Amino acid sequence: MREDRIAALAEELAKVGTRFYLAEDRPGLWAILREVLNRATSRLVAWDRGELLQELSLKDFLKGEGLELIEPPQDPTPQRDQEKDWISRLNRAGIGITGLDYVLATTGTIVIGPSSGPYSKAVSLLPPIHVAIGRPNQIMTDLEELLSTLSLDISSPSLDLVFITGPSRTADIEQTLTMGVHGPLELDLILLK
Amino acid sequence: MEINTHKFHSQVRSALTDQSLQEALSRSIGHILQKREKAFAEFQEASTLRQQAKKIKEETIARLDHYLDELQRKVEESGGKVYRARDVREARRYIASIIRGRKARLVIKSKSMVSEEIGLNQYLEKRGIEVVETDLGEYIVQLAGERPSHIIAPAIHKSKEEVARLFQQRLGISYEPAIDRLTRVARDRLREKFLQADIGISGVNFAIAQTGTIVLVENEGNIRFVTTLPPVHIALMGMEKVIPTLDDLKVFLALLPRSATGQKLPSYVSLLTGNRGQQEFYLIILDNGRHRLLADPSLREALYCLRCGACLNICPVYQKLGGHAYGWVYPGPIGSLITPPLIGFYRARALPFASTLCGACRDNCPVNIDIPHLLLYLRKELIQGSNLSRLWPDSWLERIFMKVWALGMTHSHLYRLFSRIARTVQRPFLKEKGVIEGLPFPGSRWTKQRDLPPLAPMTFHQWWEEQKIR
Repeated sequence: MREDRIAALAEELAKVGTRFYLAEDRPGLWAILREVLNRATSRLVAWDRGELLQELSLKDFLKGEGLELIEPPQDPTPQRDQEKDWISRLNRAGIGITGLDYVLATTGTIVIGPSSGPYSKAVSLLPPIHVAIGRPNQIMTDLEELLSTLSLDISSPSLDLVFITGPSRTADIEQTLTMGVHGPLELDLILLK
Repeated sequence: MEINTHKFHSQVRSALTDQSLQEALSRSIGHILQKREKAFAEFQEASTLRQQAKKIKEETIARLDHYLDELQRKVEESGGKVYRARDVREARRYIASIIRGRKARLVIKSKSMVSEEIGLNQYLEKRGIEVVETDLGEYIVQLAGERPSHIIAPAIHKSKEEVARLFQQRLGISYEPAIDRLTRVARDRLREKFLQADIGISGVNFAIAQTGTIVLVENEGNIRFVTTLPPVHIALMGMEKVIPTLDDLKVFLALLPRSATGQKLPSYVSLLTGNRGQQEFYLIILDNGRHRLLADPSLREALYCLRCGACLNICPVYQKLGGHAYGWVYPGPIGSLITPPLIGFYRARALPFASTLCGACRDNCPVNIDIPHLLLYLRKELIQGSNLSRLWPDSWLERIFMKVWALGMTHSHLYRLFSRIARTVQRPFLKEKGVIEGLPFPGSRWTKQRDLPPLAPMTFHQWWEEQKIR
C-alpha cells in the first residue's frame, strides 16, 4: 500500500517538475543532499528549524560540508531590522532547505506549515532551489484527505499553510509556459524512510 | 477605475481593426482553451463537483450576512482587523490610512480585480506612494500604463515583441523578444521591490468563514512574497468570496485551477489566517454595488462567480474584442452580466447585448451560472423595465424590421415577393467567396465586420417543381 502511494507520488511529481528522491537511511540522505547541493550556484545555504531537520541534525551535516549557513532569527519576536537583515542574506542563498508538513500523492504537492519550521515559508521561496525533506508517513492521498484531517482540529492554532506543486511558473506572455518567475526555479523532495 | 462602457461601440470598432490585437488574442486564447479542455477530459467528477459548488454558493449567498459575520469574528480572533467597505471611497480611504499610519513609501501588490474596481493604484500614486504590481502580466500592463484585459491573464493582448519593446523603453534593456529572458528581467527587477516593500496588498480567492482563513492561488510565487515578506498584509475581497467551511475548499480547489489554467493544482496555494508571527493582517470586504445583485433574486446567481476567466476564453465575442473594449474592469460574458448592476444600468447598457447567446459560457462555467439567460433578463429589464426603449438608438430600426418580418412570415404571397426582391437585390453584393459584402445602410451595420450568407438562387418550391418535371 505504502509502496503504491510512493509510486503514484513519484509519477505526479515528475509531471509537475519536482525532483524526487527516496533515502533508505541517513547516510543515503546525506549522499542525496551532497548531490543536490552541488547544483547550487552559491555556497550559501539557508535552512529552517523544522522538527525533522533538527532531529536529523542537518545543521551539523551542512557545517561538516564546509558550507556557509544562513540561520533563521533565533529570537521568537525579532526586531524588524533583524528580520530585514536576515531576508537580505536569505536572498543571496543558493539553496533553501526546509522540512514539510504533508505530501499529497495524487497532485504531487508539498505542504509547508508549522512543523516545517517557523521561517519555512520564506526559506522555501527566495533561494533559486528549494529542497524539502520529509518522511513517507507524511504522505496523504489527496487534498480531500488533508482538508478533512485539518477540519477535525480547527480549534488548534490558526491555519498558515502553503501548498507547493512544482517550481514557480508563468504563462503571462503569449500563454507560453516559462519556469521560475518569482519563486524557486528548481524543487526537490527527499523522503527519508 | 475610469468607466468607458458608454463608448463600447467605438471601442469594438477599434478592437476589430487592430491587427496585432487580433493576432495576440487568437494565439493566446487558443493555448488557454487547449489546456482547459485537456484538464476536463481527464476529470470525471466535473459535473458532480460543479453542481456541488453551485449548491454551496447558493446556500452561502442566501445567508451572506451570517457568513460574513462569522468570517469577521474568526479573523479578529486571530488578531487580524476587518473593515467592511460600502463603496470605492471607503475602501480607498481605509487603505490609505493604514499606509499613512505606517509611514510606508513602497507598496507591493499581487493581482486583485477588486483593487482595479476601486482604482487603488492611481489613488495611492497621487498621494506619493509607489505601488508596484508583481504578477508578470500585471507588471507589463502597469509599465504600459494600461489596464488588465483578462481576469487571469492581464497582458493577453500583448505579443512578446510588444513586451520586449516596452521593457526596452521602460527598463532600459536591449530589445530581444525571448519570453524566458523577459521573464528573468522581471524577476530581477521585482525581487528588489519585494525586499524593500513596507506593505503587501493582495486579493482573495476564497475566504473561509469557519476558520477566518483566506485562500490565494497562483503559479508565479509573487503572492507568496506579497503576503510573507512585508510587515503588513492587506487583503481585498468582494463580499461574495466567502465560503462556509474548510472542507468546502476541496470542491473549489478542484474546479478553479482547472477552469482557469487547466491545472489540477497551481504551483502555490496559500492558506493564511489573521496575524502571522509579527505580521499584521487587514481584511477589507467590499460591497460596491454587489448588494444590488444580491437584492435581485434572478441576478443573485452572478455572485457565485469564482473569477476563473473560463467564460471569457470560450466566448466568441471576447475572442474577437479582448478585454479593453468592454470599458471597465470585468470583460467577457461575466463582465457583461455584472457590470451594469455594479456601475449603473444606463452607463453599461450596451454590454448585455454583446453576446450571441450561444451558451458556451454557461457550459464552461465551474459553478454553472446561466449567463445567457441572465443577459436576456438584463436586456428585458433595459428595454421594458424602464423608459429606455425610447432612448435606444437601434430600437426604431429594429421595430420596423420586425414588423416587416412578421408581415412576411404570416402572408405567403408577401413572403414570396420579398424573397424574390431580396434575390435580385443581393446580386451586386454577392462576392466570389459566396458571401454578401458591402451592403448600404442599414445593412452595412452587419456587413462592415461580418459576412452575410446569401439566399439560395432558387427557392425550395421552385426546386421541387423542377424535380417533378424531370
